[in-house]
Amino acid sequence: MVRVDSPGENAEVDRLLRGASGPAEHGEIVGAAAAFRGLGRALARIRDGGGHQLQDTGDILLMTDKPRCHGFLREAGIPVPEALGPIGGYEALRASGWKRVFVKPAYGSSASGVMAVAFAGRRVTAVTSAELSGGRIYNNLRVRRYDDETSIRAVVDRLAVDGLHVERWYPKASLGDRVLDLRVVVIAGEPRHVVVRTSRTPMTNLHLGNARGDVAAVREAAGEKTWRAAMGTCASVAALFPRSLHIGVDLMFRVGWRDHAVAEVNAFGDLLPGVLVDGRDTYGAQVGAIVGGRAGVPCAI
Amino acid sequence: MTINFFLDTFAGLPVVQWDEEVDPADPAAVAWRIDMEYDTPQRKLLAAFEHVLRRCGAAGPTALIFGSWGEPFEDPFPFDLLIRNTARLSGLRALFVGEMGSEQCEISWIVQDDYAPVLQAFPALERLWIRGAQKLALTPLRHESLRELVIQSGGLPTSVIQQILACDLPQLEHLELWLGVDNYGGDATVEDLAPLLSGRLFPTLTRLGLCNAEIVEQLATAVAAAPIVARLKALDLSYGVFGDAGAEALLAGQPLTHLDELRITTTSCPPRWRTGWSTSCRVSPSTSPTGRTSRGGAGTPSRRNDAARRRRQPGEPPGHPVHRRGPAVRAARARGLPVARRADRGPGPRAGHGGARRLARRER
Repeated sequence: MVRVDSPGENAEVDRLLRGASGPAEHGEIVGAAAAFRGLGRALARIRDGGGHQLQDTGDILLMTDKPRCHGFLREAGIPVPEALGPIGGYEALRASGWKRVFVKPAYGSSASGVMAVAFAGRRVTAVTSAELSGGRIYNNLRVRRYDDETSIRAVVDRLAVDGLHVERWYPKASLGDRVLDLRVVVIAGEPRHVVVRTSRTPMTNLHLGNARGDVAAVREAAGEKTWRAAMGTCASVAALFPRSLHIGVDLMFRVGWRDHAVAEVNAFGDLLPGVLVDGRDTYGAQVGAIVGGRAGVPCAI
Repeated sequence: MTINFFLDTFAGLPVVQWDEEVDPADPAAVAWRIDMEYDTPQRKLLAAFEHVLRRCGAAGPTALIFGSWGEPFEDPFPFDLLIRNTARLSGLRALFVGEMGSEQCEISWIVQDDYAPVLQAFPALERLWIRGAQKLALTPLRHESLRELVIQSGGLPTSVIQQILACDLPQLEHLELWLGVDNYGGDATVEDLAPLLSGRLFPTLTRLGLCNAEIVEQLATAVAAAPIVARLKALDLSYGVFGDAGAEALLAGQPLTHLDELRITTTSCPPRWRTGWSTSCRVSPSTSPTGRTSRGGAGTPSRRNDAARRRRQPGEPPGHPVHRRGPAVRAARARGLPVARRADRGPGPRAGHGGARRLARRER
């Protein structure tokens, strides 16, 4: 059995994926499109090496390609925020007339380079973990706000080199003054491990100084009907990737809890340390699904 | 950085969303909340408003909360909607315009308008809450019924403060102004508030909030000697960047032991502060929901802490809850002040440079 995992912070793997001569600077956001192509090549080699893939190569690539994945989910009837077509850079973004957007690198993960941008009249503001320094762009673990158009334009245009995916800013629900969304790990078709990610910024990713929230409190705030619908959506998303043992769905509730939408689907989204369901973490549950040979789940052995 | 708190109760009434699938026994005994998605055409707002009016009967709702009205960062709330319907809103006593979170609109961007026409159209209105101060105005007037005026902002211009202080509000008991930061238009100085602090205005005022203030330490110094304090039951200086100097100023000033409630937001709470005010001081946990003042565009605070805000119970000795809050820590950091980092906060701020701050594989 073959499990593929995120390259994480391994600079050498990152360099190989990008096909670059030297490693990127620590935290630098560079070569996302090249890294995506490299991921395709690497996954093909792994697949051709034989063995049973716990995640389908095509699935991993689809989940990692944000514009394509968004279109795929929308076509399948999964609730997703509306997306703008391909955008070349800041000017095109401004000209779109969309007032509140999430600008995401087309290929990327963990909020790397994601920007929440709002326009009003001549004003613009952006919240992001990306930081421009000396012509290069870095991930910063402190989420910052930019209020000056020059900086925002520079960051957007720099990110646009590797492709952008722009969605309407889906106003997330909050509890106790922190906005939140969920990471739901669906294993063998079943939504199981759930983490609430809460933040005082629009970026809920936990490595950005954000905090886990209380699942029961969110479930109560959402109401049983809304919660079940949301879990149903996660299961429906997983059903679109039947050859993958696990997927990580980032699920947002709309402010007011009336509605929900999928923000992202993650091929490598099962790192939820300490989250146990029936005594098992996400990895234990996957092993259990494999050993148990769940009926009707092609990935189970 | 932001405000994301929504009221559960308003004017003492439970909040009910206009389209919620509940049927309150007495539709006048709840606070109705109407909130629109952005880009929503105004006809949807009108439809929601009509829906509430129909559910409430002849006198209309007692309390109304408007969240986002579509594009609050472009245009003010369409007050004409209320003004032309005064006959159907004869029961209206409480109004909150702009209760939205930073996911919907940055507080410093919320466009408001002159509230004098609304107040004139509703002479029986008792509570007015406003969030956002872009283009906010209150042409001075006399209003016989207003008891509570709350203006939450990331920056409240001096011009608006001067207008408020020029109003004749014979019933005003509770005034709460979020002064904000200069960068977002909060340019008021302590001198601008002098007429208020002198106690000459608003003869019935007993609850005063000067919140979210960049200038909180100057305010603390001024409040320490301000004549108005003697008649206050509650003083709220929360969400400001309140440090030792502010606390020292308050401690050195006039007695505050007559207050039922004193709210500050601070990074630390030395025992000396507590003993200086009371032996029964409560310190709320730093994990409580909070807000902040400096940096951040929305530039603002958040929810009040119910535990800290609670009133003294009969038989309980007077105590002064002192908040110790996270945001002040961040605010201090933003100002470059050294602050001890909590152990559970995860890796340090900077990924790009300066050491092994990123994990090999991160929880996302």
